[in-house]
Amino acid sequence: MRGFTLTFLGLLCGAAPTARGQVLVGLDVGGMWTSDLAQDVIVNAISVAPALAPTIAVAVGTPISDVYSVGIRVRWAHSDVTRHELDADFTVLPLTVWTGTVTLERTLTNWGTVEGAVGAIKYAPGSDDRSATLFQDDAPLAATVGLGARARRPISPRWTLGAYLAYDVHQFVTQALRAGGAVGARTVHRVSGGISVYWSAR
Amino acid sequence: MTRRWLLPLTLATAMAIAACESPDTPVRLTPYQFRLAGTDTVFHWPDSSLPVRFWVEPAGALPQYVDRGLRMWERQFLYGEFRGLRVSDSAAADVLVFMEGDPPPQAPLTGDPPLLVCEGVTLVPARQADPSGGTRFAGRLEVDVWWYAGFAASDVANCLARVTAHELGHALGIFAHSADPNDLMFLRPDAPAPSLRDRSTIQVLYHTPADILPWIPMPGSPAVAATTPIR
Repeated sequence: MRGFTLTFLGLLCGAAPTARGQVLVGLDVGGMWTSDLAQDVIVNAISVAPALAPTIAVAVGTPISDVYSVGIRVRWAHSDVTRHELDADFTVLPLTVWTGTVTLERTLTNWGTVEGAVGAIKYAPGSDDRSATLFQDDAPLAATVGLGARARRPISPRWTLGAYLAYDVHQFVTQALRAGGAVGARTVHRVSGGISVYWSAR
Repeated sequence: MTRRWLLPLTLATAMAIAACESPDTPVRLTPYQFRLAGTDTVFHWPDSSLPVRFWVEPAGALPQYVDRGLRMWERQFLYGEFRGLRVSDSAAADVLVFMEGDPPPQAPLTGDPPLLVCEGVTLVPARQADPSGGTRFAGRLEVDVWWYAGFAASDVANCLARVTAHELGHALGIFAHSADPNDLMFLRPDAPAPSLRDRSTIQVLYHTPADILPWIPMPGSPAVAATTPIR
């Protein structure tokens, strides 16, 4: 464990800034927490949210100046949506969430960067049997904005290892919720974190 | 302030604006009574029983009416509280649906004014003690529907679709009737689909603690349980 910690800290503290013209292809693997998609009171207080989800993202980016890089990222996350009621959880249906973003990354130090992201989130309920759920009429597509921080360190001329922590926010509502009389949309917060691997194309 | 903070501040501002909206919860009406008259019994299918399995006698379009009714009731929920499934093995079913008498004439459903040219009944089994200490139905729920000859096939089809959906409401646990003729669960149903009050009632029912469990095969269970009919 101590060896792993030292290796990880070493990775975080030794990354070099990328060179202009370089193309980086990245892979993120981690976990994602999502806040409630819906809250309601029917006899009891009810909340509905995706469970902690494994997430994988693929990104392509390139520097546009000494400190800025632009890129695109596609993220996949999958878990069950659960209903929490009276201190118990009930599975509603499996849910995949796709996120596509354009990112602008700024190098802060020789090992750390921050990034902003704008894009879209697509909900993809994974069950054919979703007629008794808030996804019965549609699978929402929503705009999202986010912030993130990354630490990375080259481990070879072409390979870089790192870690990331990201936050994004979007508005969530479905036709079924609107048809039921819900007014407005719920702000959904997501936090994800994990490790990254980058490969430099030149 | 340096330009290096411009991007994070811009995005943080955008996110703060996005986070300002807060939604209202769905609209619901005051539910009508759903408890079994005289017993105050509350029943709904627990999550552990989902999907509830319905066996349907293959008589005319009765299986299609049941499918249609199940989908209509499922759509009244938002949080996965109920799912129904039609099965081909009656021994594996939780609910049995029969057509009494001859198979009905088949015709497409229409929007014609409703005529009560058919009827139905849901048989709620007696209760028995459960080894867990609770109370459990002593048999399967049963739905029977029948129709009257001498009417247009479309009127019979419309009626059977409507009454089957009404009886399925009983099979889901609404063991009483609405006093509003605009509700599907009115005693003589004219409404073609669940109303907002039906929706509110079934949602409240499924979040009210049940005091009776569904039937499961147990040693000593009677082959045929006494029943309470609900029309």
